[in-house]
Amino acid sequence: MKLADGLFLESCREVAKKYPSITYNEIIVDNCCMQLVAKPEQFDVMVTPNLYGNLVANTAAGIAGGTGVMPGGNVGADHAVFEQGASAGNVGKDKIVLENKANPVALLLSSAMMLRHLQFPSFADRLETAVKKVIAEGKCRTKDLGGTSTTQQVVDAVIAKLD
Amino acid sequence: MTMAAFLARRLIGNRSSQILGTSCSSSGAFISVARAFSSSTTPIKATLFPGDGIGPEIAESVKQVFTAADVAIEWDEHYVSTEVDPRTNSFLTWESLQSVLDNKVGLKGPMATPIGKGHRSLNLTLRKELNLYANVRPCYSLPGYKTRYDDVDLITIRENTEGEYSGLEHQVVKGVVESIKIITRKASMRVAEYAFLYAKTHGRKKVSAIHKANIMQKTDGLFLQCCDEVAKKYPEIYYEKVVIDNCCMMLVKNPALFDVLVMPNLYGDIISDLCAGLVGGLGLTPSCNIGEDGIALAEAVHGSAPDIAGKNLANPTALLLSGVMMLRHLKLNKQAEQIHSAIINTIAEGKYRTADLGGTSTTTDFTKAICDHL
Repeated sequence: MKLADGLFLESCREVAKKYPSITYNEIIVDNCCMQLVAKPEQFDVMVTPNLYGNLVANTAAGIAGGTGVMPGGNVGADHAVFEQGASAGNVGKDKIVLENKANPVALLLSSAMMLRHLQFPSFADRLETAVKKVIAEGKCRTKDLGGTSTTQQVVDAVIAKLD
Repeated sequence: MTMAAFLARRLIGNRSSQILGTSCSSSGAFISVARAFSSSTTPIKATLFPGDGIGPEIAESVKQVFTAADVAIEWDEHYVSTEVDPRTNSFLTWESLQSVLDNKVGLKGPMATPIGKGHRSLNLTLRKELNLYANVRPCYSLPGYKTRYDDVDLITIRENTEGEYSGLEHQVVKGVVESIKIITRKASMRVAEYAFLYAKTHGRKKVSAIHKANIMQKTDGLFLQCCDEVAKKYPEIYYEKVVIDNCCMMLVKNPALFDVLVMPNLYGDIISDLCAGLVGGLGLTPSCNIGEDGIALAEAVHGSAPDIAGKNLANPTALLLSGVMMLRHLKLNKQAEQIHSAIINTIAEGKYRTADLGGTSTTTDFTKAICDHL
């Protein structure tokens, strides 16, 4: 899509010139998805137009663990709203709510992003570290990560690990 | 329908859907029937576009393997010209295009798009002139070539004529451009019909329609409507609708969830490449483009790799597997299976592998190993 995506690329190039110390490259979206599944470590920050971003974010989230663990945020000129990074296929299903198996990690990490945005880096770090320790330990995991813990159990574990 | 085709249909009776296979229109069906009745010694003519770069070498591999397997195909070779043919406004000559229209089947190697203006891209020329409306890519894990995903066995069927790639863009004012996405009932029904027919004739159990109709309610909505309609005619096949972002996530988490996927153009482009990445990349991926009247143009979708051209290093797997798809389309299933098994076994064995798969074999060694495995 030479004009539409072309304009997007032109804009990215203009901004990239202002940051010569940051490596900038361009990749076609279909090749990008292929590279993501084969070798995701080659990517660092990815900036995309709307639709491609949706697809790439979900692909990346899937590779990294799923909707239950990926944080996200929406940023505007005056406001910011933080929420899970990838679309949750299980949104609005009451049955799952009753089961109490939802993974709180994604939203906890999103709230850490919010704290960082509000310029509370030490609080953000504490929260992130606690969450990461709980996951790394592997004892307290919800169903989507292969465990049997409930939402509350994971939250309690995170609180226990806060220093 | 001609008298001959009508009589043929009556004779075959209930088995018609199997013999007439993948073609949708009646004249296409007639071609397949004619082949079924032709003597086994009459070779079938197929157009071959070796392409550029590594194209000629891998095309040579295909010819060798097919000869070794006694496949009765007579190749009608065509090359991309160095000058634009005014009749086609492209580097592909009128004769080349006519050849595919006459033979109804073809095999295409990688073609480098020449730089410059005032001519159509080669792929666009083929697609428009041959009315290639569906791009079919089977993706399955190759035993012996390990990736992070072992249980991939799916087929992506992508609508190839419209959607986001209709080529309709314009600048509204400086800094604002519009791109128009077109979805038509005709194209959507055509690809949906093909997808379900493919699923049925290949014994697949499930068809998933991939969309973003929650946002693009009219365009993807129309596409889904068409898939819904066709699905009703195939009650034995499980039909589901999956939103594209969910689909991406499911594919990288658990590709075994999918069987046949049918999608509009852009999603198909992205998803089919994503799936190729799951099993090892474009160097191993076959594909087949289906046109009206039963035309099938199988092609290797990787690039022409000019840096290794002429060095006997290229991996012919993608073109060979595409050739197998072509044979299946021609209902030469026995030989298709023979060649397919030979390729799989050669790769699985691990003794002969080209550089891109981590081995040290040359193209010719690898080809010979496959011939030996037949």
